[in-house]
Amino acid sequence: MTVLQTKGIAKTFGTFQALDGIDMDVEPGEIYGFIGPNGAGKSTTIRILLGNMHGKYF
Amino acid sequence: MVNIFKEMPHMTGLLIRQLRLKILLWLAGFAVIIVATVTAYPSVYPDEETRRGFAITMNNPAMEAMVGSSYNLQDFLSTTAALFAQETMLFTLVIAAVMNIMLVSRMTRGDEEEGRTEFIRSLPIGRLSYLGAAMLVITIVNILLAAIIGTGLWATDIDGTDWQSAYLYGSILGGVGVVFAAITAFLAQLAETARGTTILSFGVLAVAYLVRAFGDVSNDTLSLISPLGWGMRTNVFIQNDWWPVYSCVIAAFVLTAGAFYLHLVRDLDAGFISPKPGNEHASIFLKTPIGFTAHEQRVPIIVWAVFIVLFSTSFGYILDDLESYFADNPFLEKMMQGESDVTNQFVTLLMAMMSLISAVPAVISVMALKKEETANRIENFLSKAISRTRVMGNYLLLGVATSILMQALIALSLWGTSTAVLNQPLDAGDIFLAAFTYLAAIWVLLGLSILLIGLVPKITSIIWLYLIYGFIIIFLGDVLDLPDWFDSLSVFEIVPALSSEAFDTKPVILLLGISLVTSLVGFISYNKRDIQN
Repeated sequence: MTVLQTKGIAKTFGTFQALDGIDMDVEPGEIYGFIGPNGAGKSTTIRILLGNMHGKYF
Repeated sequence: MVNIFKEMPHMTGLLIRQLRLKILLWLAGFAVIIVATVTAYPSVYPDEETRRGFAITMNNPAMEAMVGSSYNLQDFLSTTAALFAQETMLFTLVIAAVMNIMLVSRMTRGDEEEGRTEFIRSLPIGRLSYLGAAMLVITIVNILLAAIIGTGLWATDIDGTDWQSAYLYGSILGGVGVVFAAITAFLAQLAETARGTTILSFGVLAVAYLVRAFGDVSNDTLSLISPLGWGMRTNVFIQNDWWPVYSCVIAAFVLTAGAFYLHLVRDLDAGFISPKPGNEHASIFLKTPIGFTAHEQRVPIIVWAVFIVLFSTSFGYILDDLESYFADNPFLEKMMQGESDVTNQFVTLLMAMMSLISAVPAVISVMALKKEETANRIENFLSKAISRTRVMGNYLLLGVATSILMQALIALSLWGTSTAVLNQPLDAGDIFLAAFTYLAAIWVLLGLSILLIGLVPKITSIIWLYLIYGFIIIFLGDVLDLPDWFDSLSVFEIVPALSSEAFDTKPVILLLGISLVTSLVGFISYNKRDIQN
């Protein structure tokens, strides 16, 4: 059973492409590492997962 | 099915807990002022003669523009309560609107800007729970307001009150309150900051006031666009029309639905009106300490300047109606000892009122120093090679400049409009002197602000209470029949009210002295104390 699954999330701020095609699956009990340099879109992804932002889905 | 209001009861409790003191103070303040005022009415207007006099002073275009109109002479003669409603209704409606704007702006954009909303929204709650809870809380506050004021009026039971009219008076306050709550919630979705939300909402309030003023003077239908215009049309204590209350509730529902929709489709922390990006490089002016301070405060100063010009021009425009009204009525003209005298009295009252309003942006400019300290930004400033005296001096200088600008704008707008609409325009010298005389009072407020920031930074906000006290004295001072020293506690009552009164140097010098001493003490203690963080 997958507790969290995303397929191709995208997000733009104006003309700036912040996210482009995020796929992820998280299984129960799994620890999911989430790393990347500044501006990679970590927080944006989490905000979309929480429903605080609206992404584009394919 | 996703529940977009999930956990809303918890959010409601959370918001009430955060704001309970503010809500309590607002409601208690409201109750005390209304009950104290209404209790005074029977003794101020005991017989038919005084009521007739009241009706004459009220029933002219200038007063209609300022406090609204809804009754005729017979109503004033038959009940004391109608006099009370005529004189206080619009004033209290505006205060109810201000309360709603402040509270809702804090619960919506305020919390979002501070990052509290993000924490809450990370939890498993519905997307509309927080905004929904805010609207629920403000609805409860307005229902409480209606109930408290209604019960207070009913219990005071002056001539002409029954339980229905007492609760109608309370309900229309609550009704107009929820409309402005909903307007603020809607605008909070558009603006990106709490300050933007408040400025936009107060802008709507000012436009609502002016639209009603013009409508009441010239065209009744125009007044019906403004929620304040509805609020003035209950005919409370006489016919007791309830339709304005229902219209308010319906309008609030529609606006709230709009706010909910926009909230659902937007990202957190984003707004529909995005601020324009600043310049890449600072100008030479911005690199100077005073330039930086001025740049920081430019938006409120410009907004207030526009607001003051708009108000002064509108009232200047009404002078024409006032002139022709008294010219058409020889009986009244005789009674008020000539039309120019009435114009004069009106201009004097207007000048006092506008000066109080123009004190607000001046005090805001000085208080920005405290705001910068609270936001931990002032230490970046002070860590440079600049003395505290200079930093504080810049803010004071900005406040003084703001006050001079605002008073000049009042005089210029009034005088300018009067040359356009009056056969005998106001004298430019008189009007500028009248406006600039009030600077003495405004500077005392600035001095007190400096004193508070220097000596007791924790309680600086009491300067606003003092300003509110000034408003209460100017609007209700005569009615409340307080001892004279109560009046003189407000510096705006000490200033010689030109041009009804003659110019007197003594009080002006006294006020300038007070402002000088308070600022001096403020500067010394600001240099001695720790910067808070």
